[in-house]
Amino acid sequence: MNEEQLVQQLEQIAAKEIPDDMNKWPDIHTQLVQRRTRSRAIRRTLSGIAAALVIVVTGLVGSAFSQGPSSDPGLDHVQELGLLQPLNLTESHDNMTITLTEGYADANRIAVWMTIETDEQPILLPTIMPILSYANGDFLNAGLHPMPLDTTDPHRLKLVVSFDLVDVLPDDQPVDLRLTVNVGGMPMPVIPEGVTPEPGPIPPEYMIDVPALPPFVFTFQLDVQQALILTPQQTAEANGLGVTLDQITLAPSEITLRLCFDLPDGGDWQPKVSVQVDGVAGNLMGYRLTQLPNPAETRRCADYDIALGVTPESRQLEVTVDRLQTSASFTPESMARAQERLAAQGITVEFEVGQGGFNWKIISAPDDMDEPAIGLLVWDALSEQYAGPWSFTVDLPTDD
Amino acid sequence: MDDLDSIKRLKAGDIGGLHALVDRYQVKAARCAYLISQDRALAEDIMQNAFLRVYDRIDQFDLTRPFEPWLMRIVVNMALQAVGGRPLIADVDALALLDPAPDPAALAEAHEQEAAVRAALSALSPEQRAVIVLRYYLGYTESEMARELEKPLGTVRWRLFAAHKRLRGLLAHLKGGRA
Repeated sequence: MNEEQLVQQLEQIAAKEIPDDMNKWPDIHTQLVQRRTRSRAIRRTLSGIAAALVIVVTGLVGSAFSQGPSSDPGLDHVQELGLLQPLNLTESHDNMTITLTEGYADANRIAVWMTIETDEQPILLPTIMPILSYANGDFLNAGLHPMPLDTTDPHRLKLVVSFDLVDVLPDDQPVDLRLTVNVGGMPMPVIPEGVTPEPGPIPPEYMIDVPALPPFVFTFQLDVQQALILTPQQTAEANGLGVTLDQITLAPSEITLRLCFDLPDGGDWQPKVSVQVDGVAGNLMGYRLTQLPNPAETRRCADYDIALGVTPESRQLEVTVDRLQTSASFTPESMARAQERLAAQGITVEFEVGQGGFNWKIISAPDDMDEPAIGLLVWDALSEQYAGPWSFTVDLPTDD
Repeated sequence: MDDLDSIKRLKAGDIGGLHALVDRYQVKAARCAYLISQDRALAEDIMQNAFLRVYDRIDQFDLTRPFEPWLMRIVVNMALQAVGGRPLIADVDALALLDPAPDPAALAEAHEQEAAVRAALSALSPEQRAVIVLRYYLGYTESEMARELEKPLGTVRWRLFAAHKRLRGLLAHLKGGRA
């Protein structure tokens, strides 16, 4: 047998065992949901918050959307300013109706408000996947942030999905968009009231198959609100390293900052950023490097999206980089260090590492801290950290 | 959406980015895992866990490098971990085909050749299977294998040589030259 035949045989053997049409995405998606659900279950049980965990529809909504913030001062702001544009587009498949009620666009992001209604099974929000593109189908590079607004009725949900744009959207003309909402096509865990699942995989009797519906496709046009781009190029020094506030894109619903920072070493360091406008704090929605990282580089730049309202009357922007930090790591050393850091804040946690991934249990915590806040502190504590702070104050231009 | 777009989306917290990567690579990853583990159900588990690892560690992914070798390295390492210390049981009937005594003409038949390759793979150690899969299924050069396995080039060459030698011995009687 020669090498060519060996290659053919390997391909043939592999293809016989693993078919071309294999699709394990639903299983992978379910495992991701289960891990989040399991994490909630363990934490809630041990912290004694509730006698019985109820993972019904609203619980799943909270779980699946736990990646994003639960409030958005930027969208609240544009709503107050009356900048939402009515859409009133409705599409129905089987017994589900999706209505896009309003939309909003500025240089930094696009947001769509919608209601989802059905008279059959309760709506499982994690099975709903919105995808935004240009109306002609061209790819729109953006990060998705869904946020439920009202989940009290499991048959009628209201939510807003916002898309942080990687490239600044021109504001001199309306933008033509297409929103495709895919629903179902995957198994989901639904645990009845009064049942507390054991840590580990969710038993099959609590899994339901959510059938796929045809895609809900909407095309619409939005005006784009104007943005202001500033280039303060301020540099602050602390602890031997410099951080530069290079550029600010101010849009009504979101601020994008470009920060360039010295690196302590070749690790994946990122600034821990907080932003205020006239004393009002914003939410960090995401960040992205401005160029491909080079292991040999000593300085790096990244863009940070901050949900926060800005008006022509806004006076002052304050940016603070408390520290540089790396991604969380899960070595025994990093976990021991994290426990020490958390203990200094009055939080006691235990870590679990196993086949199901990484998990933690809250043993004790101050009464005024909720689970999401503790979760953020845990992730921070697991990272390498390099102390700052680096502070910047920018006086915003006025019409005076 | 290409790999870079998918990864950027995933880094930004958009699970749709992972969906796109799964759609693109799940079959190849599962096949790679199967060739090393020789167990279909285990291979599917390895592939799924590899994508969960991608999800967990996407922040550590270096955007200057291609995604596929990074994923395949995770798959190969997970497959080796999964079968490490668990001896594989070769197909006894197929191994009989490896006996030099049977008629070479019969062995040249395609299904017999496949059975012989299956049995020969089973007779290799997991590490030897891994280098064979990297070299002949994924088509990596020795340098690429060294980089992805994070082993010195000499170590990779030695492992490949050892795997080759054993495979050649097991398949020498098949028609078509030497493996």
